[in-house]
Amino acid sequence: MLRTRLFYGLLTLILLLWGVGAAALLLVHDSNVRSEERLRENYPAIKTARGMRTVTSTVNTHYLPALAAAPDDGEVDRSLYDEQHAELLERLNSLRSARQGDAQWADVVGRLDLALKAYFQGYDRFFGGEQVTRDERAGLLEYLSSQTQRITELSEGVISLAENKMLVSTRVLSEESAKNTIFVATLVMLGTSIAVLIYFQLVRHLVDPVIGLKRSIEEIRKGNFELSLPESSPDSEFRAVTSAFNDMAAELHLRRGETDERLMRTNLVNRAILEAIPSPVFVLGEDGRILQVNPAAEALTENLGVSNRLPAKIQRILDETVEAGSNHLPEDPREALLFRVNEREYYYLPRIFRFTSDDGIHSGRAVLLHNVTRIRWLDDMKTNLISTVSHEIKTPLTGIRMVLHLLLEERSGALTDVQKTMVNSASSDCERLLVTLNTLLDLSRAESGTTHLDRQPTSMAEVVARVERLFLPKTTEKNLSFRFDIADNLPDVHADPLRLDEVMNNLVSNAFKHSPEGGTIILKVARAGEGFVRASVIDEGPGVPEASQSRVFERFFRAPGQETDGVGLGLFISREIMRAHEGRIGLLDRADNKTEFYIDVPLA
Amino acid sequence: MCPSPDHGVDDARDRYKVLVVDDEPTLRLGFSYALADHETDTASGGQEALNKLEQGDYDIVVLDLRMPEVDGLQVIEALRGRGDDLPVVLCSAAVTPAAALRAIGGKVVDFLLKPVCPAELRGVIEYVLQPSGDPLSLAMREARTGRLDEALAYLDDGPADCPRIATWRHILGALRSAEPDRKAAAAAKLEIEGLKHLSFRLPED
Repeated sequence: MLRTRLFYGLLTLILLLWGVGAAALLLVHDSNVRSEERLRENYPAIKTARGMRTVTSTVNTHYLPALAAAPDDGEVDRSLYDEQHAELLERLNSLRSARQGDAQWADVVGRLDLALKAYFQGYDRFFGGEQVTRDERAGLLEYLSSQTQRITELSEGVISLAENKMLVSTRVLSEESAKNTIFVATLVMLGTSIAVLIYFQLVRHLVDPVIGLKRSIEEIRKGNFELSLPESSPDSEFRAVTSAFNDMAAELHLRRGETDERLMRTNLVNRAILEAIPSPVFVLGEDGRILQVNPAAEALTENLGVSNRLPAKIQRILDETVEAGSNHLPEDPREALLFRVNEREYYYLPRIFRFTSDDGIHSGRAVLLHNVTRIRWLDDMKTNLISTVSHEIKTPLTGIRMVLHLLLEERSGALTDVQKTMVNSASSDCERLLVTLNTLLDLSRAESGTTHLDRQPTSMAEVVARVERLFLPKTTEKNLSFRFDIADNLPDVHADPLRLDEVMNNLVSNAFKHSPEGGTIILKVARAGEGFVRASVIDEGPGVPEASQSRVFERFFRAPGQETDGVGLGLFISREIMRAHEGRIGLLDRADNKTEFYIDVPLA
Repeated sequence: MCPSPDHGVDDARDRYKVLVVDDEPTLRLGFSYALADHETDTASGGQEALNKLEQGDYDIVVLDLRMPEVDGLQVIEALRGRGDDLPVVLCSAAVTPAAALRAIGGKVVDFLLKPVCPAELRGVIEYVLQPSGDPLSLAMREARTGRLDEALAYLDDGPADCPRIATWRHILGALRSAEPDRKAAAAAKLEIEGLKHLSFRLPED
């Protein structure tokens, strides 16, 4: 266990540290004590020995001159001598007791004792006063001098011996201190080795596994799941980590494999779907970058010279769609965009829609360009065919009609009643056929003629005023009346006034048809949200049956049971005109027994 | 038992020499019968009409617009090209605004929209050759000779709320100014309104 190892290793280190510290303190203390002891042992001895010399010389100085002089009768005062005699003996005793058990010392002190004794004998003779003669006196003086000399020498010997002892003890001390140094150094070395040992243990058990883990994580990030961590020893804390990590890597490997396979399959399916769609398809990310295009889109962009980018026209619509946050799903082939590829014209209807993932996190847009070239061509063909055929039928029909009219005029001869009836019948059929043909021609005109607008700032109020002028003479027929509800300060709209007149005429004409006798038709103009002016035509007629409401703007639609004339193109043409204006036309829900048709025209 | 349609019948007080040009035989026949009061001649195509007009001394031509080979507009332009200001009534089922403007530029201001009934045909001959005194008729008389300023002056005298006069003023004004924009605007107006305000209508009695 790393924890225990760490604990014991550091504990040893701490104990060692304490040991070294304690030993060092002890040794220093011990050496201090010993050196003090030596000093105490030897220093007083030296001092005492040196004092003996002083004392003897004091005694000698006091008494010896008398001895050197002529014999004197006077009694010599011996009090100083006695005093000094005691002093010397005391000093000797002190020297003797200073070092017991030391043979050399005892020998030197013994000899000093003998010398002192001899010295004292000399002075005893002096004080006995036996020396009378000059020679005797000289002999005593000499004796005393030599004894003093001897004492001095022996004192010197004691001093040098004490000094010697001190020197020796200092040497011993320094030898001991060297040993102590070695001891402490050994301990320090030991501590250092333990620290190094702990370091390597830590590296091996702590740092190495972490580095291995880091390397493995990097490998896994690179996608290499094969590398697994070596199993740690059973008592390592890293064992759990390692095995958990290896399990995780294995799990990841497995999942990755599954995910890869699923992705590949999904990708294949997506590609198959995209490639099967003959229309160019662009899949875009939320940031507008193209994520995927199908082969049809590749071919189209390549032919347009904008390889794998959205053509500018489509990009513009896409930007508008993104800004509006809506989808762009037109259905009318006339909203298709023209592209020239290899000098041929193609019409593509752009369908742009937003998609989000199931969790709602990811989203993007798909742009599908629906090729409506053929539909457009067929539509044009149909319109042209209707127009051509109508004209071709109309021409001979006018001849027939003229002839019938001439017959009915009876200028070339009277008709019998039967003949007249038959010609009348033929004539009315002829008229009906002509109405139908004219309607067909109107239709083709509406379908081909709403593309060119002369848009200019136009006052909606003036449009309403023109409509009123046009219809005012007709109000007498059904005793109808107009009412106006026109807001003040209306901005101009951006529209072709003639076309707008046509739409309003149509709506008012419808209102006339459906109004009851004596009814009121309301013409209302007001702002409709941002960017639009709404003009409404409100009548009090029976309204549009609910089932027909969604179909009134279709071509040829006539509400069931409707008796009034017309073939059901007015609202269709009006819708086409409003569509070309990027405006709106609509029918509001019936309220207060009133029917309201409105147009929203964009502002100038 | 019927008299030949190609010869005059009656000795009316105002007999005019009329040329009917149409590629439709029934219509030629019908027109001739309808104009039996006048001296009528027919042509089945543009070239034949031009040939006849060069030789004969006609008072008026009723001209179809859509004909194979030489069409009505080409006849008008050839006629005006040789300095002939003969009144022409353009009669067609479908007159496009562009064709109408070209025709008016060629001093043809009388349009009959097919289908035509005999009374209308007779009416337009009288309207052109014996104009009444109302402003529109007088203006049309001036326009037939290319005097647009005088025609516009007459129109200004007329009632302002009459849509026919308004339309004519718009178109003659556009032609006189010769600005492409105004011409285009006039064509667009015709496109929407159709030619109903230009074409001849029998006076309602």
